[in-house]
Amino acid sequence: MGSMKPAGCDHERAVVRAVRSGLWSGELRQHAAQCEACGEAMAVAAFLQSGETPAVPEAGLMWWKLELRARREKAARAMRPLVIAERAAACLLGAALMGGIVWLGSLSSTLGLAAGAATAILGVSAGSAILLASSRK
Amino acid sequence: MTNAAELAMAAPERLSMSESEFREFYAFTAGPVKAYLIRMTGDGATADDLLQEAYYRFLRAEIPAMDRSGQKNYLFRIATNLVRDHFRRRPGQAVALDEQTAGHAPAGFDTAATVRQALAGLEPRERELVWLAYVEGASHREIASITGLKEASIRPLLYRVRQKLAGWLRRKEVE
Repeated sequence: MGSMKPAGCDHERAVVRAVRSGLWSGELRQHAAQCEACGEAMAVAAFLQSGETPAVPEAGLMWWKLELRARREKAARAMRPLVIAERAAACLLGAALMGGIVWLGSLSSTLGLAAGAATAILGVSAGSAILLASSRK
Repeated sequence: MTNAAELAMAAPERLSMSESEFREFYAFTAGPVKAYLIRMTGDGATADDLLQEAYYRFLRAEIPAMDRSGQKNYLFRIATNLVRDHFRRRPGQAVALDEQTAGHAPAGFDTAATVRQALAGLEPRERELVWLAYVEGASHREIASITGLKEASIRPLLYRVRQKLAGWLRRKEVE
C-alpha cells in the first residue's frame, strides 16, 4: 500500500468506501491502522455516517408534485401575453380618456366639466370591469 | 383564456425523465441528497423544500448524456447551490444554527445531534467538502465539480477540515 502523505493519502477514498459498506480487505485494514491520514479519515467517516438515514417522500408523490408544478408554470407562461395585453389596453384606455378630457376642456369650460365627470365615471367603470375580469381568471 | 389554461394544464412542461426513470433515479439519490441538505441547513423542513426544488431544477435542466453517477453529482451540485442561495437570502440563519447547537449536544458520538454539533463548528464550505468526501465518498474531481472549487485545492482544504474534525472527536473522547 502507499505511504503516508502530509496532506492526505491516496487510499482515503477506499477507506471511506470500506467504512460505508463494511467490506474491508485485510491489506486496507492494515494500512488504515498505520497511516495517520487514513486513520483520521476512518474516524471522521464513521462518525459522520453514524447519523440516521432521513425519511424521504414517496417517489410517486414527489413525481406528482413536480409534474403539477411543471403544468402550473406552463399555464402561467401561456397566460403571460394575455395579461400583458390586458394591462396595455387598460393603460391605453386611461390615456385616451385623459386626452378626451383635455380636448373637451379646451372647447368650453362647462362642456369640459360635464365631459370630465362623464369620463371619470366611465373610467372607473371600465377599470373595475377589467380588474373584475382579471380576478376571475 | 380558460381554454388556454386548460390546454397548458393538460400537457406539462417537458421533463428530462419519464416517471419510471425518475422513480429509479429517486430511489438511488433521494436519501443521500436529503441527508446532505439536512446537514448543510440544520433543518428538516428546509431540507424537504430544497430537495423538491433540486429535483425540479434537475428535471427541467438540459442535461448532457451522463451515467447515473454523473447525474447524481449534478443533483448534488444543484443542491449545493440551493443551500448557498438559501443562506444568502437568510444570512442570520447559519449563525443561529451554530448558536443553537454549540455545546448542547448529548453525550456519545452516535446521535444525529452530535454530528450536527460537529458540523456546526465548520464553515459552510467545509461542511460541503467533508460530507461529500467522507459520507458520499466522492473523488476530488467530483467534489470540485459539485462545489465549483478547483480540483487542486480540494486536497489541502479537505486535510484542514479532517484535522479539525479529528481534533474535535479526540477532545470529545477525552471529555
